[in-house]
Amino acid sequence: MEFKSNIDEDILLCDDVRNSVNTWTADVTSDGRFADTLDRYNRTARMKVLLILALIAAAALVTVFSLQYGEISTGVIGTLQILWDNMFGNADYDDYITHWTLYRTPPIIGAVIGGAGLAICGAVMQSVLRNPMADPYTTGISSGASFGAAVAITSGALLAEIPSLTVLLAFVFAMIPVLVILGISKMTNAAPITIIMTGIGVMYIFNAGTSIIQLKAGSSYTAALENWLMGNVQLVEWGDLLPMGVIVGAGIIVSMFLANKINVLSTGDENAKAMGIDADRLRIVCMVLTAIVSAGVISFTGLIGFVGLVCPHIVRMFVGADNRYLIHASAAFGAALMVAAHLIGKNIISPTIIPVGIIMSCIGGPVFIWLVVRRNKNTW
Amino acid sequence: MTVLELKDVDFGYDEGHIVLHDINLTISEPGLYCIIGPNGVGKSTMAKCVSKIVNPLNGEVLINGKNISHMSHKEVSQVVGYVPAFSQDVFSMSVVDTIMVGRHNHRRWGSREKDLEMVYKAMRIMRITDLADKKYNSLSSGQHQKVSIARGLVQETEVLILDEPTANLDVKFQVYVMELLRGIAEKLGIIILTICHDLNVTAKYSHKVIMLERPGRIFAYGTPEEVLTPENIEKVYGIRARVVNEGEFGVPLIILGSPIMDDEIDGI
Repeated sequence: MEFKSNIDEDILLCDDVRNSVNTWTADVTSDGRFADTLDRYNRTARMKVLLILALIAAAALVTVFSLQYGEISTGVIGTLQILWDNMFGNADYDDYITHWTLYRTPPIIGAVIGGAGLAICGAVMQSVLRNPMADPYTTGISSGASFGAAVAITSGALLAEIPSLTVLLAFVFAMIPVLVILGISKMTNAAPITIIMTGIGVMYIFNAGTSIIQLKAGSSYTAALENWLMGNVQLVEWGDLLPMGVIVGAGIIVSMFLANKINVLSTGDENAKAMGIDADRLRIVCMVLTAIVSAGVISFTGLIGFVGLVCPHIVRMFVGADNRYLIHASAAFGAALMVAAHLIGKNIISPTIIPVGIIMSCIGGPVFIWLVVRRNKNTW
Repeated sequence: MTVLELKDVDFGYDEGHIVLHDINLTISEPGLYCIIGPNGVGKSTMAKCVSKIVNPLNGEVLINGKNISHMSHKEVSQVVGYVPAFSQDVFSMSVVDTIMVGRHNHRRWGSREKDLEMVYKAMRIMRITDLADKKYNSLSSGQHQKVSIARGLVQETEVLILDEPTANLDVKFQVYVMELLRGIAEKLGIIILTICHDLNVTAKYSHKVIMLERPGRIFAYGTPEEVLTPENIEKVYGIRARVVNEGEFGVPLIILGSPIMDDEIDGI
């Protein structure tokens, strides 16, 4: 049957199909059911935004509570006053309350920045690699950072004069898995499974290297190395907050701009290419971005697991898989969770401080198993 | 009017495994075009070459005279839409958001209402408005297929390629979707290329048929009456067939007979 530009002349089409085709070209804005759909869609979007705002408020509350919580404290207002004065160099630095308040602040702010950073890394990595197990651990970034830190900590007098050597080497070695992934991707392709498997391979190599360093290191370095490997925001100092904040802040902003493209990529490479996205290139860009952000956090805080893995999964249950909401919500939830974990670690068997990495593993392990057990098709 | 040309196109996933050989094809008129042929003959690969999902080893794919290898993915996607045969999202969005992904190239600041209107219309004509708020991964294979077709339609491209759009659909929807695609091609004056296995559906609804044979060559190209002959079907598929040209509405009706289990034909 030949081509008919007037579908009414095509005898192969039934009336229902003609109506459908005419619907496709019609204006349906006055259709009541379209108005309902639009209303429902906008309402759902508003709910998601409200949830993100609630998570940000929760993170702020936990942070303020942590900042003023301790035996030596002047309460919420007093603590905020001290921090305000400190910003402009007007604090009374001889006052012991001021001293203790300023002493406990960097780890808490470090936990906020670190939690937000690691959580967005997990959210972005899981979406672009289309893998619920993706996080800085399974892509080898954490293991690279561990190796770098181990080299720095056990280097002794030879390199000890270089300031922030641990941070520097942790960052440099954290980038190596990404370079390996980029190299392998160039030789083969940047398929999600290639990236994950390469990351796991690199992780084992660096873990072996770190173990050898631990075996060979003298006992004087063991405590410092273990402290780093356990993940401890107590390592964060005032001077670390600016670089951490800049790296994580930039990471969040770039992720926000990429969120729509990440949504498309998360539906598959063929779909992404069909929508005009160079899937391999976007995946590489996202991997480099998340590597910089996670290395920028881990280098200062030591190894902290599960934040990147668990936070996006929990948040996804409430805001769904749309990265325009998921990235923001994960950042806020990650920040709140890490500060809470730090607060628990500081106080549960006080005066001993349990590193936040251990608390996160204690919380994250069971939560992850719970997520797997109650996993349903509606989430992932 | 969009013109799609494939000139001397060869494609292989590796050097020893050439899937498409010397494909030459020009589509200069709107309509529903069905690509048919046995399994593994390169139908999906040909569709992917046209939508720049894969790049040919040799030859060129031209859209309106422009070689797509010199165009960005974005430029190609503004003209050519592609719906893969299978799509399973690891992290599931709602059906509305999943279809909305198809509007990626149209989305601008403040375009949400217009985008949602197209999504709504696509859901309505695919009869899935009741699934709007459901998660994509909670749907059946047939419902996935309807969502995928809707996602392809909202791209609003001049060329739309659908890889086996009726594979998981029940009989009623297989016929409905093919009629719908034919109607949309006619009404909008666009080129719709589908990969199809049902020869009778192809015979009834396609304006032109592209028949591929092993090893990845175009065996015949023309109207269903010209291409779907008993001789062509037996040569390409290895199955005896009778074609009744006095079928309903004068379209060819194919009655399949016994397969010829010849090693050479099956490529075993």
